[in-house]
Amino acid sequence: MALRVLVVDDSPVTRVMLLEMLDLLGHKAVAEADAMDTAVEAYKNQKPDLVLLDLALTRGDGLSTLKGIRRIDGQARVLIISGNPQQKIQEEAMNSGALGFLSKPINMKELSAALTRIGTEPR
Amino acid sequence: MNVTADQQKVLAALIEQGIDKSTERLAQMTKTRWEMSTMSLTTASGDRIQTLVAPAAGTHYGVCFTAPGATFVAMFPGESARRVVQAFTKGGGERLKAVADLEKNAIAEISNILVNAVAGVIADTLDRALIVSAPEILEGAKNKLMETALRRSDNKNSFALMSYVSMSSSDLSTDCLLVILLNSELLENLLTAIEI
Repeated sequence: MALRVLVVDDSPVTRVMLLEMLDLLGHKAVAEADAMDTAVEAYKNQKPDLVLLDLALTRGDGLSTLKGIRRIDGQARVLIISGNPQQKIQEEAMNSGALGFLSKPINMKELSAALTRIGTEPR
Repeated sequence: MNVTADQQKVLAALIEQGIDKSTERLAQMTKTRWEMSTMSLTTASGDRIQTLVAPAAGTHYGVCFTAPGATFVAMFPGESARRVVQAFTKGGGERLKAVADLEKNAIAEISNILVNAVAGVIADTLDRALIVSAPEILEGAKNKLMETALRRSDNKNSFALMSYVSMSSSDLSTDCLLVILLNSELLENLLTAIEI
């Protein structure tokens, strides 16, 4: 199943790499954002199937953004993509409704496996 | 504050553990070998730390990150930066080539991966979260970059850990200086956590 994806990362390089990977994997990036406010707005406008969310953002942070999106939509599916592997942060993200973590730099095979799993799971 | 030789060894091992994690991921991505060649640890007050980074010819890229009690700065000489960016962005399409300030932004992301891996090891050792800021990209002489990093930190009570990371393979030879400034409270907590 092709997923409509919102890409949220402060790095324009990582955003573009993710857009290219999503294209190659047959998914569609419907919007991108580099900050909490623009990410939440994009979520409201696009209602994507999935959010790929970094933890460090230009304004705000990933954990607050995750909570903000889940307040709008309690069923929102959010996958954290981060270079930040801390145990406490992972626990907080999972407790706040994240589907899981992918480590940076992004590995295409890991991303593909995660999107396939998410695409086949009921919401 | 004084840090004993034994404490320095344990801290060095901790930082190496973080760098190893990030270099392993970067090596997979760039299909090249990344390794840390040397590491030195230094305790110093703000003014003393500044003298540890001597002025060097040529422009460096510096990427600065802050977290409560800690400041991290990764410095790449200009030529090294270009080589590592080429390796990092290899295989990218037209959209990637069109990214504004590609070199600076790619160096920021590579530094983000290095720094967050190290911050992760420190945070897990302390059994707490350490939220690291988005990168601030700087450009200039190495000692000027250090000055900026010190301004971002609590430099009156800082402890500096300096690590040289070299990346090498048949088609890539480059290096990076990673400086970690911890304030005395965070350092004391870290030493307590590792029980030395």
